[in-house]
Amino acid sequence: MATELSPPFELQGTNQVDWSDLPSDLLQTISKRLHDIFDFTYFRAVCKKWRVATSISDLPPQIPWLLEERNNVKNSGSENLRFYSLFSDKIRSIHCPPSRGKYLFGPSHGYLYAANLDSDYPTYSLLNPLTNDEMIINFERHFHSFLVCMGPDPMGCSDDHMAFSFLGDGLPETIGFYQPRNWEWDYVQVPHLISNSGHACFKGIYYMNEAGTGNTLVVNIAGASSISVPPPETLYSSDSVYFVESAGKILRVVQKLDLDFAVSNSNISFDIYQLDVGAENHEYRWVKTSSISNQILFLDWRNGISITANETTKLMGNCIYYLKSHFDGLLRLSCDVYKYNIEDGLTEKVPLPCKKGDSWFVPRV
Amino acid sequence: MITLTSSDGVQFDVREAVAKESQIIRDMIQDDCVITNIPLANVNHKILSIVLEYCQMHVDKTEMEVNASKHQTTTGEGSSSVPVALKVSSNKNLNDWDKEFINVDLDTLYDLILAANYLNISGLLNLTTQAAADIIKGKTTEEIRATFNIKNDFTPEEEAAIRKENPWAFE
Repeated sequence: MATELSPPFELQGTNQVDWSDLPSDLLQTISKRLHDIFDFTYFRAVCKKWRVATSISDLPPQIPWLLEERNNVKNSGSENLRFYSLFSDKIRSIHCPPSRGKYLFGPSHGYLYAANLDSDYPTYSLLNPLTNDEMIINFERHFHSFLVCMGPDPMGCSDDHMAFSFLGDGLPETIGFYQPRNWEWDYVQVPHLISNSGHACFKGIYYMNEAGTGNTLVVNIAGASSISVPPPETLYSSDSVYFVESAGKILRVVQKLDLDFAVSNSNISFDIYQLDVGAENHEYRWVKTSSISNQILFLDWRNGISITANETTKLMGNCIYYLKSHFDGLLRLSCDVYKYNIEDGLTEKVPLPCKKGDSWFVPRV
Repeated sequence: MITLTSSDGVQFDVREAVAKESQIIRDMIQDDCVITNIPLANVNHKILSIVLEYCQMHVDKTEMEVNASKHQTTTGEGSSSVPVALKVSSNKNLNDWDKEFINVDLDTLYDLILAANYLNISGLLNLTTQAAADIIKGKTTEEIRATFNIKNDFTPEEEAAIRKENPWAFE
């Protein structure tokens, strides 16, 4: 027969509080400040009262994790992924068998793009590393293709496409747009050779930085119609262009490398432009902006996502987190995360407990 | 001045502006302008004195900023009534002061959360619930229980179900 354990004598004082007795609305107020899904999940597993006070649907907006680069993906046989949580300052290790042998790409919400190149028949999928849910991407034509860019939430409800370039087509180039939620393909021909950076898909629109001209091609995927927006300023070959959807606006983020500095200590700054529809319709132009207010951008090597900061997220708004690789003394490539403060133009290195960052990922179950 | 009486019968005489940091007191004063003594049944004197320290600091800070801006526009008057000690502390970031202020033991933090909620002082409620979240952040379930001295009241079956629901968090 189970007997109720009485608390030790010293806990019976009148001043002793019982945190499990905190009213549920106050428990909710606390849990809303946990912007890491692990913290939130651990919170909900503490005791019955803490659990019933919250629901998994109350998961607060998440601060991106940094996906740690894996060594020797093809042969290591590892089924574990490591992420660094900026919010909690913890490494989150996740056992994810379907990730074995696959290269993973972000930045994204919920699902990573997974490429299994370990055979003559490569397979591609979207993989949720928490639930291990995997959606295989079925190509209806053209065997060899590569991912150009992926919308920030490919399995979400905002019509974010994935864009693939198909090799062997010659010019003009064909880009296939895949909508993972309804398995639909659309194909659009683009006039110029594509470059590695400067592509993005948001809500049924594809943005592409035309190498050479610096024009932005804005393609309505379903309508297969496009317009060209002239560059706001001359681009240099060392500049990288990102398109990021941030608080409903389309941003053109130009990462500028100041080559006056020594290569090992090159200085990076950012110019940010906002797509302006203009007074008359279809007169699109890029307008320089000096602030993204309470937004935080997370850029990897090719793409970016935007997160809203507030007093509970700990991370300051109007900043850009970006990755930068450099060779150490032994000519090993290492990668660091830097934070660029848009207001004062200052950059600081973000201390990391992990080896190399690869991309950003916003977890979801 | 308004007199606030704690649940254990201790009286605190405070300026109306300080008491009005509490939404519930602000509403009482607005409803009945002759009110001078408010009994607070849910807050003991130890917690009330800490709450009032918070309110005092935040009212002083706001008034100083108002005075400073007055002083800038009408040179030569306005700022002379601000005590030197407060001027010094006004230079210190209020956030730093809050951070120092909330560095309390867990029993006190618990009581402050309840008091901030009861008195409806939104700034203090934000500060205290954020402090609790900061303690929880980065801890496992077992570590949270140990820190807050919370008993695991799940049956082994319930606990297994929770783990099964989110295997990524518990394996």
